[in-house]
Amino acid sequence: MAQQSGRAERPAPSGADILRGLALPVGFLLLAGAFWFSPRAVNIPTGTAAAVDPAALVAGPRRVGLTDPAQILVEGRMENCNACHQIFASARGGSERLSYHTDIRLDHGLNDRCVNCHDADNRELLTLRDGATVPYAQTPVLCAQCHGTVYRDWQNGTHGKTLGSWITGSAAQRRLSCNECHDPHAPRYPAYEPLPAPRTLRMGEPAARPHTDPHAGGPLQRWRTHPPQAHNPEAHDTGGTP
Amino acid sequence: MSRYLTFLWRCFRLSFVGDARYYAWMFVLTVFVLLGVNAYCKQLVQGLGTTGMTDQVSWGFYIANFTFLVGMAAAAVMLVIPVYVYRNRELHDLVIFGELFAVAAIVMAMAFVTVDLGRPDRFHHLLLRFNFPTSMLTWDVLVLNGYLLLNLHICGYLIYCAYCRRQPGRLFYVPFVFIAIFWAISIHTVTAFLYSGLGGRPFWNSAVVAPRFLASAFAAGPAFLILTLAVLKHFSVYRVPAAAFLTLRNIVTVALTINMFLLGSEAFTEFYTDSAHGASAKYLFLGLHGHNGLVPWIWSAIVLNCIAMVLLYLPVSREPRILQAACVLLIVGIWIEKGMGMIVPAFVPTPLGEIVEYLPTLNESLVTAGIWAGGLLLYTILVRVTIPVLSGRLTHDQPFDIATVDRPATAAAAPEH
Amino acid sequence: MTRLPIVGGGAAPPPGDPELTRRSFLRTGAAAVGGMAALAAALSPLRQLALDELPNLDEFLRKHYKEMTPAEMEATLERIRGKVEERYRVRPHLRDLKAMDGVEFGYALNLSRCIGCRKCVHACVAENNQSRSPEIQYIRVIEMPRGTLDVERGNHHYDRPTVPDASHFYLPVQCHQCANPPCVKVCPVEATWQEPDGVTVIDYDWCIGCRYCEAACPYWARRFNFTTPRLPADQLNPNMSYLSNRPREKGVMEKCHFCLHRTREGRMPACVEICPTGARKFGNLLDPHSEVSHILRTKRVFVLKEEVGTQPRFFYYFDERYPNSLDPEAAAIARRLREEEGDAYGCLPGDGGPRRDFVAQAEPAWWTEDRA
Repeated sequence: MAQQSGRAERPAPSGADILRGLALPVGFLLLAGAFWFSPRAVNIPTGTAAAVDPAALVAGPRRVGLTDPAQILVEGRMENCNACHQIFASARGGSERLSYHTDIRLDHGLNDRCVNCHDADNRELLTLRDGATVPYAQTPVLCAQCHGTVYRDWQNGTHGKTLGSWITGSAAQRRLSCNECHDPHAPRYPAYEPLPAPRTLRMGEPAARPHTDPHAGGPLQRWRTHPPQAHNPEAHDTGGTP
Repeated sequence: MSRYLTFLWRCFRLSFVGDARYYAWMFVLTVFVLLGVNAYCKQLVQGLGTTGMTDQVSWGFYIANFTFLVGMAAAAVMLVIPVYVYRNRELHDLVIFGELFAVAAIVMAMAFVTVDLGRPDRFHHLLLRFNFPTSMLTWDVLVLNGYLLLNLHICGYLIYCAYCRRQPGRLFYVPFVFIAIFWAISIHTVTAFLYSGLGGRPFWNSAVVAPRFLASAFAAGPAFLILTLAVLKHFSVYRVPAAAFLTLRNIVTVALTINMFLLGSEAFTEFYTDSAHGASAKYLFLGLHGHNGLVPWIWSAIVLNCIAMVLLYLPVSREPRILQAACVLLIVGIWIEKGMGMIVPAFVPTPLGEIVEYLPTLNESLVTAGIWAGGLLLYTILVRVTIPVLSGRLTHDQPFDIATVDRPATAAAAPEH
Repeated sequence: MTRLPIVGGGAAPPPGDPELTRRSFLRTGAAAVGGMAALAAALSPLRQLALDELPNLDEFLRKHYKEMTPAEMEATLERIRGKVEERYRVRPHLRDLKAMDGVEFGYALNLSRCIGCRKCVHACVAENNQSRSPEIQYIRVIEMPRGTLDVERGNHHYDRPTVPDASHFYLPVQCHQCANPPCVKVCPVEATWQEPDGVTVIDYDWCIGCRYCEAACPYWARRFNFTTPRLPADQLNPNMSYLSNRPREKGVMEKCHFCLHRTREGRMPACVEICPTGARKFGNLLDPHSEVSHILRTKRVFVLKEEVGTQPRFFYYFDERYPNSLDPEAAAIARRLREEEGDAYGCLPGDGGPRRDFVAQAEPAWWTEDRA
């Protein structure tokens, strides 16, 4: 394009000139319109935490153990043990089938006789190996006879449950007794239904079970795929002990 | 002072002077910048949940780009060394383009860190309680800002002296140039130390991270400069000597070779040892427990880098088109390998063994594109302004209109350095 | 020579020609106005910012926690109480509890007793006002196969009808309040630090949300608020402390703090209190009579990822065989040996006679049946 010199005739704007001049403003205004009418918010898949029954989150003893005076529910009324046991002759051997207390499930391993723990003469007391009796409030002493290591740990707080305070000897500190967690007749701790698994932001769908064998490549893998045989050297494939 | 303000005003005016192609380029960049601003506003309102990041993968696209750009900024020094250390006069003017690029790259890197912050309104807390020297992030803040100031000073001083048609005083820029050489190495080393000092992330906890960063930076940065110079050669009358391309090509070739070697070294250590330390490397290269989101990416990056490396070794890459193609390939390859291929795998699996994969969201990508466009916009303006000054058309004693005319430099105009 | 045209094409005007200058001015003006309009429209989502999200001058000028005078702290607490009351309609009992003298908190977890019920996870959430949407939980329970501590083999998302599963054990992980914490080391603004009683705390009003600490933690213990935390008002726990469970905002970190609003008053953390089997033990490491001290003296404790050098204050140990003493594969092996060897099973050569062996009993425990 030739250089204009001085005040020469001004060229009238051509159609192409006008279009070029309008390109920028129109472009920007279109953009402004796009911003104005586009959605204000980005959709974030936050999800919601699964609801948990607040009753499941109440801290406290799992069960209420019998304490002194020992009482159970008989036909709608709380009665002392001896109210019946001083009248009726009840099993003394300890292995007979019970006609009452049929709700009790006895699954205590080797300890399969009622009178191992319950005093044969006075059902409101518990009996020790040497014949001495203890009240129900001292149940741990009874358990300690066979479960000495657990009792040792329970005494210093490493076994069992402490509620209330971590300050040693504080009045708020409460140690739970053996039978506040364990049913003395079937002491193995029950299974629980687990509370919901995590569902965090954008975590994707987890596999219901890990799709690879979790033991694969692990230290115990060999033991699981080649379990040990009986003591018969000919049975070993490799000739060595596993 | 008034001359300086006039200079700035003229630079501002000059950045709006250009032909239709220039306007089209600037308009497209502006559109992306505005898209990025819009996306960032949504992120400010809703939080970083608009990105694809999670507690499991808590650093993603933003930090990946930050890492890549710090490397690019450091690579400006790759022009400084041949010119100032080896006294290659022919490439002298190109140092400025490299350092202007460093300025743009650092600004972009700092923008990426800012958009990654959960509470950018608390930026000033860095000034009030600065956990220096314990936290490597504080080192990073210092070196990045220092590098920006260093380059702004060097470029600003040289350009302003050219504008004033006066000889730049050697004391005012030569020491800074030499400082910049070491400082450039340090910015990327500090950034690498951010990652390699974390014992809880075995993928990063490796001595090879810092050398790898430097090698990949010194490959990608000069490659970008080659592309810039090619653009300048095509769209302006600025003289770019062929020696510039060849010197840069040699630098890129060597750096890329070292980068591939270090990558191989990393891969050998992780895969031959075959311990739990290599879980993240396994995820990246082979997939882990059925999750293989990054596998196609890293292998594409490796293929791109290998093709680029082969091309660069062949004499045919002296041809401009081949050289530019190789540069594009390796920039993309290194961007993948150093960005997503470096940051994300360290988070998969988590330190507790959980696998959650990461993908940037649209909003996150728009913010990223906006920052890249903003940086390119800044660099375009800086170069647009620098060429007339260096070729003697924009000086304090000539009217502004002369700067708008495209003609080769006159002998009297270009000051001797 | 070519001339680069100015603004939108057309010849460059001779200097001082008003007609073309006006035309080019109009073009420039129109483009500039269009640009401003586009910028304003781009910024329009900012209108959604709630007014109370913008920091007021007091918040902006506040000092770091360690530099605040008691009066400044009280003013800050009052401001937070007001905010909580406004949002949740509940006046919180918020105070700034300081560490007790002579106390260093320690935690011990009996992996033989943990049954994986996740009550600790949800009790913690109920106690500490975490976001429910998105879900934030400080404790993660991992179901691990027996024989390994490699957490990569674990399963975070187990969902069985009942727990424990006999061939797994359960490994709950939360912040270990390490004595050499990498998170404290990397925080650029000192928003997280170790208190004298060992708890690593976060000042939610100081954190800038860079998430470097989250990258640095080897136990994945730290959480970030990617959005504004959402918590139903009826689930708010009003018993709060400044450094523990007051409601957080978006863009800041949070994590387990050993329930210091409870423990600094002598109470147990929520996770310890709720654990049904007593697997979790908590107390003062400096008190030789505390439960944790007993455990550290008498049990074979270990820590996770010891090689990283963090010196956690969270110790794990196994003691009894339960719950995996009846691992079905182990029981199957014992049963088969019993069948093959008969009365000689379990006896040394020349021994008196057979011994009873509970592992080899005919029936496996009633909960080991696979109910999948």
